[in-house]
Amino acid sequence: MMRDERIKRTQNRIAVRGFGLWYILLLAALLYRQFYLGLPASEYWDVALIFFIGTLYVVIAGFSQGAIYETSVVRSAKWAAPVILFSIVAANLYQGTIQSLVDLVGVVLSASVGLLAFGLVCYYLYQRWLRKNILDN
Amino acid sequence: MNNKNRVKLARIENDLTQAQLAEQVGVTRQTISLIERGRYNPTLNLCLGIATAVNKTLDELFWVVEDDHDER
Repeated sequence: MMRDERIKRTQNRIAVRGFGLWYILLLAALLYRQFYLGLPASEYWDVALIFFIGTLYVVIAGFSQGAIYETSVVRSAKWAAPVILFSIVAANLYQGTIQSLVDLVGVVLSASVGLLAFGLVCYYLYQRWLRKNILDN
Repeated sequence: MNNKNRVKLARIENDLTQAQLAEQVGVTRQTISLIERGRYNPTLNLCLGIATAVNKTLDELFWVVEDDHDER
């Protein structure tokens, strides 16, 4: 059967919506296990890993293939980074891994370094795509 | 902003069926039908392929129609 551009576009649209549905439902399943059932991480680490890998792929692919609008990302990062940091601290507080100020500082520092490193990797990937596709040498 | 086209008219002028035009440009008959009805926006490559198949230029086949509310 011929798969012309219209069929490919329609199938891609369906796949994107399917992925979005899967993504939201998987997140819901994770949150259900963690907060409603109160299960330890050892009970749902596999689901969390699948979710994490899927998220990582979408973000990395977005930056490395130019599927982002740079200005809006930079603007978003200014408020997104503190929100992500706060979420990580809150999650650690909930899990009981922060017992002292030293623990708190350690979590904030390690999360900050991790976020910064990830941001730099994304920035490098995006710049590489720009150099290859857009900028004149 | 909407797109309009004269693909059907040009196809008939060239005595082609939808299936024949589809085969010439390498798409399905359904795709040609949807293009003629304005229900699918073809890529530039496909537009050029259709224009070549019916011996027309791009602007003879496809054009933009401004929405009515833009004129108020």
